[in-house]
Amino acid sequence: MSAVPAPARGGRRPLGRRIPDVWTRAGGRLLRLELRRNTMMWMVPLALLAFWLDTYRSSMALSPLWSSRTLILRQGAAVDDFAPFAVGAAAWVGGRDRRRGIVEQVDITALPRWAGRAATWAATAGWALGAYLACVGFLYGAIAWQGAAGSPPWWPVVVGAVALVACSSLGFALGVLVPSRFTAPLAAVATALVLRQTLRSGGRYVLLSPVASPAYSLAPPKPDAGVFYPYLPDLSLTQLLFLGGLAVAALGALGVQAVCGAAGLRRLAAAVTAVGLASCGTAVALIGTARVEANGVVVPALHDAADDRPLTYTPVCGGRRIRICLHPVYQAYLPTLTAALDPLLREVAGLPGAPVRVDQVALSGARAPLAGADVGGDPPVAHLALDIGYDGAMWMGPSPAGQALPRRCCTSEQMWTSVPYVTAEVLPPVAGAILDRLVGHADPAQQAVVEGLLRASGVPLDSMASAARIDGSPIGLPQPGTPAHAAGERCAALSANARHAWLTAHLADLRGGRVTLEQLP
Amino acid sequence: MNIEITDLTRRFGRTRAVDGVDLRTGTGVFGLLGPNGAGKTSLLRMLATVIPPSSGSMRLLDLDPARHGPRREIRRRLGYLPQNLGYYPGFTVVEFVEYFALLKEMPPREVPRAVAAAVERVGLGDRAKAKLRTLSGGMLRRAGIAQAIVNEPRLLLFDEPTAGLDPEQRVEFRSLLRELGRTSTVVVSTHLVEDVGAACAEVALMHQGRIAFQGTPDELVARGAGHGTGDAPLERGYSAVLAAVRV
Repeated sequence: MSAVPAPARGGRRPLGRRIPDVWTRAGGRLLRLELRRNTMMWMVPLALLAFWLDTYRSSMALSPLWSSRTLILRQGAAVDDFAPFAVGAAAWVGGRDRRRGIVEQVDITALPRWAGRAATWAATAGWALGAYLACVGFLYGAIAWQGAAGSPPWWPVVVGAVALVACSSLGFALGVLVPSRFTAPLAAVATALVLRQTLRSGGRYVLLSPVASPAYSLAPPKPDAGVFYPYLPDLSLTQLLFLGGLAVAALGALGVQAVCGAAGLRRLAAAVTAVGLASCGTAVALIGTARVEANGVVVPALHDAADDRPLTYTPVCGGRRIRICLHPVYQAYLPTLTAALDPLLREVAGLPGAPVRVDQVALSGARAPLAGADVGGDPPVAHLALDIGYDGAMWMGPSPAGQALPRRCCTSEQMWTSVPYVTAEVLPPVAGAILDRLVGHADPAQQAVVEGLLRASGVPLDSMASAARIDGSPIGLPQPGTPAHAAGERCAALSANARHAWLTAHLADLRGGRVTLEQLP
Repeated sequence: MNIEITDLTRRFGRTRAVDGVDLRTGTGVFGLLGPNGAGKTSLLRMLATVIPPSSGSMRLLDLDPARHGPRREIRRRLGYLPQNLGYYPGFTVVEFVEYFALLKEMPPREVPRAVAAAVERVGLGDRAKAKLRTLSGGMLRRAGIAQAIVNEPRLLLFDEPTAGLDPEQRVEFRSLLRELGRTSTVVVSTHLVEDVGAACAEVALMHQGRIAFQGTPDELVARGAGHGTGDAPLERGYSAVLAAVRV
């Protein structure tokens, strides 16, 4: 220690004139200092690894469409990856002062403790948020770079970001209030468990969670959101109100706890807490009024009727006898679908009551099965809903290797560009809808003709997947060994022209139930 | 007067840690002596606005620390080195001192220069970029002193500042104390009477929460002439005063 001349005293300005410095430049310097030495910085590599293993790889295995490749993200997977680390790091940093025995030293400084803690929290949240946004940015960049069709959804990104801010606030508040060295790991594990539990709950209020399960949620993210209809922001807005409220309330509560003697600051902190809680309460009330509709969750107070109007588009069409028209986003899958559906459409083309066109429509909300169809209108049109975002994880059909029940058959891209897969998945429901309307399924003759047409169209009736799809449709198939089954096989063995000619001549009688098995060719 | 306290009392449950202390002091180095449990640290913590008094009045730097606004102004001009220094092991010396400079609401533009000066003054210039976890106990103490003096405080409170310092560093620290005492009120609580003798213009000896003696070091030495036990004159004075109040 030496008697180095002290710097000249300066800056002893009145309190009021110094406040801008404190809250701007001093705050910036404090934040920079905290950013350099923040625990979350060391958690980022782990969070990145979790994101890559969980969200990124799963997303990129899906079809190269914005709606598909962001499906995992829209289910909150990235939040799931980051939140435990953000909560744990924030709790660790929040308990830092007490663990390090530095409380007295920092409590007697002029800067309100609330402001000092805010800088520490902001650095923690900043690292979590920065890493999250970098990861999502990388994912979006990769999707865009590969020329994915459609448009990127932004609301889920904002919800995820605010969710991480809320997680950081809650973790930080927990760390301040319970400054044990066990708080951080316990908080991280508890967060992971709570998110998992959220995934297993299907209640209405669970919709406030940024994490949604495709299997349990009342309104899982739609694989074709933003394609036929705009992304509905109602749920996202409600989640933002809730999560933002949580974050603000936690930070406000810290202010109430930290500020001693400063009535003004304590009132401000109490007001901030109240605003946060009011925001949470509003979100809870809003979600109580929510309706789950085909295009997503509608919250009446936040809903914009313009979002109910379908997006306009010019379909792309293929097919020989009956046109198959898809949304241009799904253009890449038109050849596969055409190859899979054409044999059936050739069989029914020109028959009275046969559809004149197959149009793709939006998914109705439920994800399974992968395809749904119905026929309606005059002239009749077959409507085809496709779940292109399905990742094949639980596909029950034959695998390329020939196993009966593969756990994961393929990526969704492999599935939707493979004629055998599409034939097994899409042809049965389409055939079921068309043939039920055309032929019916009430008597043995109708069942026999339906079986014959299915076989002739290439529906793999012996495969478990196809049989399951047929069982799920209105039509019924005759049991093997019955006369109807034999008649169906006979029908399938006819030439296409002979079958078509017979159907043209007898379809009205067959549909009216006036044809017996013996009268079948 | 930078410190004016009248009948100051602090209770912890039934224990009166500080019991009716009166003290007035201005610029200069003030030593606070006393055995363990005499109430030195409690008095220092009240002066540092860490804890409020249970009763009595206190004015620091001509301001009333019981009110929020003046207390904040006092804290801007306050430096405090607690007995057990807390620190963030991952911070470097400069970051640690800068952190406190910012918390003390120093004008941001002055912070880098003030931090560098404080670090130099405690002789840690060559370890400025070292993380605190790598420093020895003595170096940590010096880093603590640096954070206390970085804002050029008008009121400096040191609780056992020389604990962990080697003899050479203690000599340098006393020199620093004398220098600081020229413009500020420096209160040093210590067990080491030689520190008081070397650096303090005035000294108080506490016993069981009360001030048993207040005067100059020479007056304390005089109390011990022919009475107390101890190797040094100040130690004899210290012992003599304590022996008198214990009777």
